[in-house]
Amino acid sequence: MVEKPVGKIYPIFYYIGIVILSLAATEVIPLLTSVFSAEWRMSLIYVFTVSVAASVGAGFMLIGYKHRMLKLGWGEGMMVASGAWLLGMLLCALPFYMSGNYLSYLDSCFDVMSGLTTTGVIMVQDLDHLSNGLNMWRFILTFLGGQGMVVLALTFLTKNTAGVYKFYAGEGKDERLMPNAVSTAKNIWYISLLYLAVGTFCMFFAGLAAGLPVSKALLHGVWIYMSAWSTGGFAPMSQNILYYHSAAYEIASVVFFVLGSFNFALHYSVLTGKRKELRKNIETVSFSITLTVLFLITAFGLMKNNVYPDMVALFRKGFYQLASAHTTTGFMSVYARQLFHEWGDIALFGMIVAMLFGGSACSTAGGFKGLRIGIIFNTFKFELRRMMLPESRVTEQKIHHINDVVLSDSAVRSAFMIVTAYVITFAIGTVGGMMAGFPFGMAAFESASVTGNVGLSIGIVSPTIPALLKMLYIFIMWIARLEFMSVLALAAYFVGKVREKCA
Amino acid sequence: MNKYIGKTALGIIVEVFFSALLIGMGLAVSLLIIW
Repeated sequence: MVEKPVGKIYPIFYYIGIVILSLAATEVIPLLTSVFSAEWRMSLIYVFTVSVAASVGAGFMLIGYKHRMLKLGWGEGMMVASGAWLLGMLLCALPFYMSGNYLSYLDSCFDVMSGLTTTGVIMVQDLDHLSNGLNMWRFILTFLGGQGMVVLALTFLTKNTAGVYKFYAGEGKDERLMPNAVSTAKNIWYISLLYLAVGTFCMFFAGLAAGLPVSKALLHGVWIYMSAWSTGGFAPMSQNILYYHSAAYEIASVVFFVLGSFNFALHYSVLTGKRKELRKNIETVSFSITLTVLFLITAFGLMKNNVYPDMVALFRKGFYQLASAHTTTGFMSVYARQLFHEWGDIALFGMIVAMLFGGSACSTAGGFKGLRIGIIFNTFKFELRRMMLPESRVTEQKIHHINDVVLSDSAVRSAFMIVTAYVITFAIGTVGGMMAGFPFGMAAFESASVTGNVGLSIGIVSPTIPALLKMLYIFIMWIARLEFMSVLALAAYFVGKVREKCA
Repeated sequence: MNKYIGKTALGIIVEVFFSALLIGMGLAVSLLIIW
């Protein structure tokens, strides 16, 4: 996909500027939350950080304004996506850092990247007493990152609709719900906002049933819904979902994070009347099979260690954690240390595989994605048939994904290539964790969690880990969320520039 | 318009039902393993 060294740097600045400006505009929501909650110090911080983000965004736009009509290639489109995410992280971390709830700016950047990539691992101090304004910003970052912030900004704010598909693909959402990329992105947002209303309503009542006061039930309902739908994993309390001690809250959150992990093209089909797609689609079939098999493995491991001796506990702890891992959400209803000390190797193996498999393509989820797992499984089946049957009987390799699709060699190659890239990234993360002094099991679990943008933690991620490991995890979350190509395009640009200088 | 709203609402119900089926699978496997 990276065709050539990128030459049109000015329009890239222009589009990144638009994204940053739209992030500054979004930051007004937590500002208003702070004002309504009478959090005056936080309100002043937001006034300052909104101004900084707006100035940087406007500056970038001005640099590229003259060249905004230049047609961008694939490499440049991908650089807009990866560059905006990187600069966005640095600017969105300002309110976090200035709030005083983080020990360093690196920790703030870590949480922003964790939010934007819908991962959910955290470095924040004293989470239970965070201001409403800061919490709102955490969940908005997750919600924006899940649907795609670059796509949001560029589809609603630019007229250059022809180039938008390149940004859209650069952000890891390379499917078209509609023939045109702008309508596709708008539909993604309509579906998300429709579910935001339904989900908040359900979580609000689940919160009331769990005994929360009305205002808290409403705020926590919005936040937990945003986090569940985006498969994010952030929660307003340090005990995560365990804080609520409510079966209704857990079941409602499972429903929404499972739905959030589905492909937007699937949602669009079902919501426009093609309901049979749910049982025919390769991703739902693949997800149902892998979820069942991996839960069997995990439940067997938990039974072997006699961790949860009754059915309700096995379901509420074992299934909840596994579903959260497989959809790459990261909500936890157990403590991190319980995973390491109680669960045992078999159950942790099931969890690691689930985290790496992940949810659906073109969804808010991370991991290999069900579509690629389906394609790879289908390829093995096809090759086996080709060996067993006479050549004339084996024609073409087909899958069902919205329509019946004949698989080309390049689609199969691309699936294998991206899965290989995920496995290599997972291996690098594991080695990084071990080099920081953690045992293999813990390092592999945490690496699978950041590679799959999951957010479950076995206890490694904390402000006390070495800065290099924090930076490695930030890099892994970023590259895995954007599915490698756009970050590689950015890297190729800088390598090209260095070569030019050296030549 | 009503037809469109009806189709969308039915779509949401079907999706939630499918998600509930997966939760049911989790319950069934828990029961199976405990037995």
